[in-house]
Amino acid sequence: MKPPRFDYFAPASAQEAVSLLAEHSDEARVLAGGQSLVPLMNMRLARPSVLVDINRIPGFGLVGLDDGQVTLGATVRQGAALADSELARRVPLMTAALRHVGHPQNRARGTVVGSLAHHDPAAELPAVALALDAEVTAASARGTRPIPAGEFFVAYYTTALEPDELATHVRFPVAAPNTGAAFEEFCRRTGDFALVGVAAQLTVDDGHVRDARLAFVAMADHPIRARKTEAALTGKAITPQTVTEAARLTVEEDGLEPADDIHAPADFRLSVLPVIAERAISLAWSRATAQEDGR
Amino acid sequence: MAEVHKLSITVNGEKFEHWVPARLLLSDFLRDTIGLTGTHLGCEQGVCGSCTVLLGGEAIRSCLMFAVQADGAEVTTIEGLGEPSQPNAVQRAMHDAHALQCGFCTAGIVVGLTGLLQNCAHPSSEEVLDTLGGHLCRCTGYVNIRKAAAAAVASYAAEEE
Amino acid sequence: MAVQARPKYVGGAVKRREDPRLLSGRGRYVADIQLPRMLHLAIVRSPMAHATISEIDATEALAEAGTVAVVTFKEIRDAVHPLPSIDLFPDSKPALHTALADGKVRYVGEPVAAVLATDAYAAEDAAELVGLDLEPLPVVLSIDDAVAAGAPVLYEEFGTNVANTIRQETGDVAAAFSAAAHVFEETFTIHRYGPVPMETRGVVAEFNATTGRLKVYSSTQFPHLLRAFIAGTLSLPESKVQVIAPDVGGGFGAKCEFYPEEVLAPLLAMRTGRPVRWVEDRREHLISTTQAREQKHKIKAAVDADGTITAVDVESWTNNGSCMFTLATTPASIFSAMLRGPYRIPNYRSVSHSVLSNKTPLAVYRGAGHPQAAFVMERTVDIIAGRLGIDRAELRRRNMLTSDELPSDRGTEIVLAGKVNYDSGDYPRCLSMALDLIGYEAFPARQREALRAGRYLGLGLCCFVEETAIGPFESAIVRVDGQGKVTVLTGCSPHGQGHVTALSQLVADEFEIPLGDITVLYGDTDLIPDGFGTFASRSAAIGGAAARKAAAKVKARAMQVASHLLEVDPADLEWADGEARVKGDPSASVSLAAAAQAATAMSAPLSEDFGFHLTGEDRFQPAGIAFSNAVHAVITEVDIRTGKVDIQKYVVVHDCGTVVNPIIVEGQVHGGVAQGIGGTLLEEFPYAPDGQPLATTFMDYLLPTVDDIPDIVIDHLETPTPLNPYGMKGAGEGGAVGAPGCIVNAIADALGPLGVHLTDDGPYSPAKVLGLVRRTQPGG
Repeated sequence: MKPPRFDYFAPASAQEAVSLLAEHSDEARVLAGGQSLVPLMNMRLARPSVLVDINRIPGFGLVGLDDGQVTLGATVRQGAALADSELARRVPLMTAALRHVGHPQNRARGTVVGSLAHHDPAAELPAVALALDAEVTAASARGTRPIPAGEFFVAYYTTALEPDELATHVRFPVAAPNTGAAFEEFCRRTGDFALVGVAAQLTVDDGHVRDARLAFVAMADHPIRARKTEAALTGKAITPQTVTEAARLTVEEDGLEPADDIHAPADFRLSVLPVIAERAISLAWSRATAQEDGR
Repeated sequence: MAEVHKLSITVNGEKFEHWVPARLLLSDFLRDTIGLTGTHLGCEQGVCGSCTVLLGGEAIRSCLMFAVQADGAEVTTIEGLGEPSQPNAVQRAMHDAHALQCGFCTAGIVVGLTGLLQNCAHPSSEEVLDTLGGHLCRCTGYVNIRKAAAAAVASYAAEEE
Repeated sequence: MAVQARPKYVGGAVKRREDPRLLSGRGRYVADIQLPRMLHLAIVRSPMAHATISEIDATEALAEAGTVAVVTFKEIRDAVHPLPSIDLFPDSKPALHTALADGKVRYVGEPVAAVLATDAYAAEDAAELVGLDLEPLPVVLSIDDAVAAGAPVLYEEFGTNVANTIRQETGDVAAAFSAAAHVFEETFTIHRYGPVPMETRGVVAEFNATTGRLKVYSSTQFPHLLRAFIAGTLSLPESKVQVIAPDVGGGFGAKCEFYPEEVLAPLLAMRTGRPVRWVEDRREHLISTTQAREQKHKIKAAVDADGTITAVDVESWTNNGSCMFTLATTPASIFSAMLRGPYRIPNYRSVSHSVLSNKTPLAVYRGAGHPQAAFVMERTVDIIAGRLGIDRAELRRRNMLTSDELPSDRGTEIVLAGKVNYDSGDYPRCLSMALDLIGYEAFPARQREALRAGRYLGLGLCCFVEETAIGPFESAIVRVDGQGKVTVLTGCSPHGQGHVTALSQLVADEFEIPLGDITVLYGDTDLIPDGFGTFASRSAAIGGAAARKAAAKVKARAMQVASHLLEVDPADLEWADGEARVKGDPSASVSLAAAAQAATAMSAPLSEDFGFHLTGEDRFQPAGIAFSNAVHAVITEVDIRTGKVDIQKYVVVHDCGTVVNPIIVEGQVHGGVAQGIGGTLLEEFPYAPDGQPLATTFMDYLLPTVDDIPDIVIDHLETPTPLNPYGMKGAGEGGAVGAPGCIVNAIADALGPLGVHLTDDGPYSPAKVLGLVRRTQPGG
């Protein structure tokens, strides 16, 4: 399976990259890690006539650690992000999710921002971005604009990025003290895309949940923020009972439209969602309380 | 007239310069342009791991990269690791454990495990399985591959001491 | 002084001689072959499952700079015969595959046109541009639909989709059913999955205009048969065709078939005068390489009050896909012949149909019809045990043939292979060993305790007997050079099974020389006069026997030479450590090297009938099929909240007669079990109602990974077969035969408390299992 022809550019600056996108727009695709795009090109399902390779743009590979937020440039590799202990402390939910993203051979090239921009609905990182209210910076010849995660993920393989826009950074808020994060997914085989996934983060104050963030993978053609479940957890001291009750609420969240495909029918995903949510919430809770107890 | 790009690349310590079409995959460049056919194509989709090479010392799937992207890079293929008379620790361990049958997926696994051990002298068993999880084998059923990987980890650790 | 007995290689855990080369990337697979001026072939494949072809428009494709030629059926009609099937019966419908579609397409993926270009990328570009005008025809996919009255018929000339029916009968089935205390009836379905080796198919063909000979490299399991097929379809004498099997990256039955590309590439090499290469990509592989297993069985069992199964009556259907491919009736035939496995069941009737449909052609895959037979029989036994309240192991013991009852003529036959006459084995003992290893006695208590904790554990058994080591024969030539080094030419065609090592062990023991003194050559029909190839677990046993016999002949010749050179009577000589020695005077000896030098054409021949070289040739032609057997036992846990099936412990006790190399045999068991686990829990080739295959990438066709296969506990018996001079039976396939039966039995056992009744072989995906569980619950 060989890809069709295309014109290839490897710009040396963000400015060059966006002017290429401005010129070629609908005909162009951005190449970062290639772990999602190149298989589609090899199968001739994606046929961009122009490829803009952003891997040579200095600065795109940087991780910025500021007070209160973490910024990842467009070519920060998933593998490097996973191995980064500073990131693990500050954005534990992302670290937890990265373990489930493919295998090391994919993570060596795949990028965090690229996974968000590609938006496979069974991918793990979009749910993390949504749960954390992350913000993507989009750049074009017209300037830059921030796109909050809540607006970023539109539909299968579709984001709020315009055809001439490039995602240059993603910003994650730093987790507050006494926060526990967990990412659980259900797959046919380890490392596969999720059939069902739950990203969960709980911040605890004096034995009660002060902040609950929950998002689902593969339960619609975009990640779903589980507001009802979050509300049910907020203010509570988590017991096995509250976990079970909260998990039951997950299937009542708005906008659930799980896919029906050869790997699983929709009703299967709905059946398994509460099971996975239970695991994620329990684990996030035990990690949060371990922090609070100073363990 | 297809546009070509200049590619300067070091493979197994040897420098190559070629003009390549943009769409030429790194795997095909290695196999067809410079004749290193030890890297195999099992899917061209990034799943099977038969095409694994080291890019800057890190295991990657060469079927998911265009050759032109590797301009200026250092690549190691199976041909650059050990020799029949002087196998590396991973090759020795796989031979001892009967961890190969038809040999088609083997080079990828040798490269993948060698890359892991070169970057991480004491990987946990989870890390080893995570690397192995990126390789499909249809002949061995993995039982002996796991044994070989454990033995290779142990012998790397012993060599270090 | 006691002379140390030389340790034997045979039976030893000898590390493979094949490995150093393969481990260092020095394998040479068909896609690695590069010839000057080579052209690349791409195949245009039907996008529809059933249609007539109105027009093929190559204009745009030909306009591409890299395109050299586009060929359709009309350009090859007079040059290429349809691809033969070798296991048809006299009254089979010869629904044969043509090299390119002749006016009609019958499956998605069927080759319609061949495109030649200057490189693989250009070939794919051009293939995309070939315009196909197709008029859809009604599609028929399932067995039930294909045999229904009024079903769309794939071949009008036959008027039916039933291409073949096999009937076998022994004993008095009617009487047994009238006398039976109980009659059990079930319908079992087997899904479609397949061999899917890591290396896809490929062919490189070269034509030598001077000699008028074709040289064809192909990723094949049977180079000699392939030579015959290519020569036959192109109407060439066989001597004008040379086939070479290079390193082959797995076959499992997918590559002991004859494919259109294997005749198109040679034909186009002849026509263009340039080498032609075709390498299959993975998407093509998943839609056009043969698939396997899919069957349906309606079985009736007659059972006495004490659980003795007195008769089985079964009607079977195999979904052969669009045509009768090279080995087409074999899965149906093996099922029909082997269903009763190790059980007496003296009265038996089988009617087995091969059915055509608009799916990819179906052929053999590791085990061929045995996995289905073991599944159906062992599910039936568990169902009977459950209904009669008899322990599952006890019921099996009661019905099993004992070793005293062997040999046993089972009254059935397998196409091409011959009569089913169980030669040797100790089935009850294998069963006891397996029960011990899996912890059968202690299991019920464990199961109850787990259930109290809300966990569902199950234990499953699968006992089977397996045809191996089939003929018609295998041949070997053994030569010794002037330095005493030995070359073995074998008709085997290994693709991972370690035959170089195994055959070296056998020959080394015969001559008592070091392993490193032996070279084994195979795969080239010019080098090796005849052979049948590697499939049906035959090579180590039959090919190995032929090699050792040929070595024995050479040894006898060497002794003759020695007696001449030493001027002693042959009876005064003995053989040890690679040389002939005078008994009682070991210093008077003639080495293999010396014997070879004396026997070369440089010396005057030693006698009229001796010949010029130290060489020997032999065949081994088995008098009958050798039957291996095994028991698989597994403990699974089923998570009833997610449907996930976890394999906790997997045990295999097998008997393949004399074992040449235990680590190689164990490796074969591991690989086979892994394929069986994959087939039962993960792998499937589903089709949409319009005939579109739904598993066309490795994201959809789920091969098992390292996390899916547990460590496997293996023990074995060695019951040599009297049918082989060295007692060897075959070992390559058993792993895949036992897994579906024992895993499904274990799932059924785990979900027994929920009243689940399982009559299909999966795949038991989490969604399927959860669905089964829910349907047993109120409101489910």
